[in-house]
Amino acid sequence: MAEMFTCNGLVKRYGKVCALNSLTLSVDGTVVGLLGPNGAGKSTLISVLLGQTPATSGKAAVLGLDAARRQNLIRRRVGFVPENDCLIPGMTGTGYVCYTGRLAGMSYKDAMQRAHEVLDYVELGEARYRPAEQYSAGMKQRLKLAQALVHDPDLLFLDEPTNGMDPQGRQTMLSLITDLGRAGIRVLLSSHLLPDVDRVCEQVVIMGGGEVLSSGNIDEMKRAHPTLYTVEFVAEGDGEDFRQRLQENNVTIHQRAEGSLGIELPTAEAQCIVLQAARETNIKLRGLHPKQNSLEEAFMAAIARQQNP
Amino acid sequence: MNTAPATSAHGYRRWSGQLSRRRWTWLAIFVAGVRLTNRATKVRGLVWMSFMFAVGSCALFYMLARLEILAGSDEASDMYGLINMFLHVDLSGVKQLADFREVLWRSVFLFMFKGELFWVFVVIMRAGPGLIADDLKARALPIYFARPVTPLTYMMGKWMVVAFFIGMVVLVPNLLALIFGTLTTGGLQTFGQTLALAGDLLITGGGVVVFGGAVVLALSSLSSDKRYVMVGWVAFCLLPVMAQAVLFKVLPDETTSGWLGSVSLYRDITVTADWVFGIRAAWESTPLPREVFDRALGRQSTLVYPAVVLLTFTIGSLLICYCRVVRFSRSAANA
Amino acid sequence: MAVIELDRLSKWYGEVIGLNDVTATVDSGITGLIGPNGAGKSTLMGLAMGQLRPSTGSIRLWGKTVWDRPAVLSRVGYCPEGDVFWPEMTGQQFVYFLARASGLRRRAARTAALEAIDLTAMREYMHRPIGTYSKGMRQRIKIAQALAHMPRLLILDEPFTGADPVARHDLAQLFHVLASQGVDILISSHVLHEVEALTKQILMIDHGRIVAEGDLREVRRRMHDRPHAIRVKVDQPRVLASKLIGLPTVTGLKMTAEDTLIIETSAPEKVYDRLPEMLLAGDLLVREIAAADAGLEAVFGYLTGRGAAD
Repeated sequence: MAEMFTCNGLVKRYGKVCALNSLTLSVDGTVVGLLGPNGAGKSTLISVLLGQTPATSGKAAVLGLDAARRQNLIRRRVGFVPENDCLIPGMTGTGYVCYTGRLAGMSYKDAMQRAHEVLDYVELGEARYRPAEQYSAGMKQRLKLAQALVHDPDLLFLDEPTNGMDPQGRQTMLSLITDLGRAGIRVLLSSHLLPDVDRVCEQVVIMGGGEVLSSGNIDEMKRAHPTLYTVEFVAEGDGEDFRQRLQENNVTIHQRAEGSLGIELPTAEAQCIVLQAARETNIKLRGLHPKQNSLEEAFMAAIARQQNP
Repeated sequence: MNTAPATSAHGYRRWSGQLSRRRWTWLAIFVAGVRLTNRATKVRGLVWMSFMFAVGSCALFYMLARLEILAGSDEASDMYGLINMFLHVDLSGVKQLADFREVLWRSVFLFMFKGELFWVFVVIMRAGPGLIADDLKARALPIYFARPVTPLTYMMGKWMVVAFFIGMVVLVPNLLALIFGTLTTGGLQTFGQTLALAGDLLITGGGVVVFGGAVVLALSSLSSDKRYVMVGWVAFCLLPVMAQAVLFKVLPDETTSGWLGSVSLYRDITVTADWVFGIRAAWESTPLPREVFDRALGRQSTLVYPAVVLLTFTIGSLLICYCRVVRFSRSAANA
Repeated sequence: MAVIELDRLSKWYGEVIGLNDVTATVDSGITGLIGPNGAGKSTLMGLAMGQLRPSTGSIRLWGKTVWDRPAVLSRVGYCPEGDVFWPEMTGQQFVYFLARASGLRRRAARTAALEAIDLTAMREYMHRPIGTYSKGMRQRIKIAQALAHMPRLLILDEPFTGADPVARHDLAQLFHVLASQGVDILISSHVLHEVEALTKQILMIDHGRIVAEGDLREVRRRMHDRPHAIRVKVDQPRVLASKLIGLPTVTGLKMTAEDTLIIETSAPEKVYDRLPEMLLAGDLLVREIAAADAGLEAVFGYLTGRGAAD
């Protein structure tokens, strides 16, 4: 199967503003996060990939199809969930999804049947017969997902699908995205909510100023420090003998606070030192956390590298 | 799939059907647009009420048919008055009315057409402004241009919606009246005359559909608030008419046959319609004395100027609209 | 010291209930106000700002009733959720105008506006009309507006919405700085991770009632009816599981990945106390021991009864 999308020297200028600056990348994977601050060029990239905006120069391909020439083929195989509401006033949920199916080239019967199917899938129950403008924010987002799924695309572009939703609504949306990934639909998720991206994506592309700042596997990006740990404990005294015991065993202590220590183990397999020290000094261990970069740290680092190369 | 679905009882099911290769998306846009617009009771009411023009035409046809029989009798004098009031022709001295049936029918249709123009103005005001403006306001354009919809198909679909409603006012009632009138009142003498008249009706009606649809579509693409579009449309229609009225008052007759006589779009359309129906030539070729039909013909004017004005507006509007829609389609992802 | 006190506070909108007989106190520092949509967060903020009149009960800031007492409000800064400004105004004019409206004199308002704009890092954009701002910039100018008159309490309704990660990061930093300068902050947000990173002090409402208040860890500890979950990442989870199953307080064991064991228990302390010894006895390589459901997300799920986070 072809890559989700590839760009080769892709440039897009609006007058003097350079929205995409010689972008070269190849993205594969099932659920991929597209991150970047405002004005990073994410929307422009999606627009170019959908064949809406012609690139100034360079090439882009979606699912192996040239974005400039095969836009109709691409659009048949891609579903797009825009950031804004994009509902048509006066239409019911069913009518709306059926209509978007017709726009994608489905027959009326197919579109209607499939509309009900995807509305079931996104869990819009009886509400589907109500005008869509009465929906809550969460329901609108799910309706938008349904309209992108109606023609059963192979690839979904989601632009801020969890923006402004409450925790429960976000949870539902993220579960749906994970499930779609399992069903074999590839997803490009553009979002400002890094925790959400962290939860559903395996890969991320971080953009800034029209360039790719970083891309790859999320776990690698968050790269655990194999010997750095935080220990949480409850001690009867001040835990001084615990610290001593650790230091005797070549553990470096970086940070100490009430009930917690930041430590560096001599090797990546030396966690037993902590356990032994705790047992011997009668310390009650309450947690052992490997130090990990959060996605946010990785993101901020990528942005900082761009600003001060 | 053996993995348990995350939230739904069924999990996601793929669809194996085929997407149509044909570019019939404008049809979907058209049908959905008509349904949405038709939901407004005011639009529906206006469209139904436009059938009064068909009823009116048939009533006049019936009256003319009666006059052919009753010519000269006392009973006829009231009807002469009525005909004179509507068509501005004094038939009281005319014998053998049946010989002038075609030109009279043409006059009836033109008279109705001029009334329908006002109706078209109101219907467009109700049905047209939201066509693109509402999509802009709801930011719904991305759902079109992320699918195999081109700016042209989008425009086509939207234009068809307003064209449908204009057609319901300016085409359908006239054709119905023609058919009904032909069947019930003995009609025109020959099939050829009927067909020619039907052709003229189609051309004038079609012209109004194209012109009105193009203008309102362009206006609708210029703003995301349909109230502004509505105001724009009213201004577009009424201001020129008012200006023309003033010009006709202050200028001598001779100077108003050129550009200055073509300021009013209403007049431009009626002058063009007169030409399409060949009404002046038709009356003048009759052996009747001029005072019978003189008032019906009104001010003499050349065709060129009105036609050029109308064409310019139509083409200009379509161009503006197309450019706007292309622009929207390009920025759809970051609207 | 209690900053906001709610005493049997209720608010109805006709037949619709916004807040229902709520008694709570908000202490100084940063407090996260969380709850599902329609839970009553904005109602609570509106009441605190004196924009809404309590149906019954009372709400007091620093011990003083707010309804009909604008003087109290001069020490409160408010950042509403929606866009409430004039798109043709520049950012600077907007902040200056509202600083003047809060009672500052001309010169004071000018300097205060500039300071607030600097704090929110908006100086670069302050001469542009607000209509041209991105969502994140709008949020920042709204916060600048709330800060301009040097309030002692900031009430922020979803200040992160629509902001990009950089702006979110900067805003969180700003809130930390303000809190360290002694400004109390009541902040509502749907992104629980961000609230958790800001503060451990929460006020959680659902269906117009307070479901939890105070320190998050304390809240979790008090939830006796919920078994606790401990996540252990270990090279041979099955070996560990076979040892744990003997403990009477362990009520469930689940392997969520090749190297991850989730222990469900009614007495987490007992399990924590036994774990080191079991791991050492089995010569197991442990990579993580952590409470799996003590986070805000899990607590939120439990308390609003809408499923726990995975």
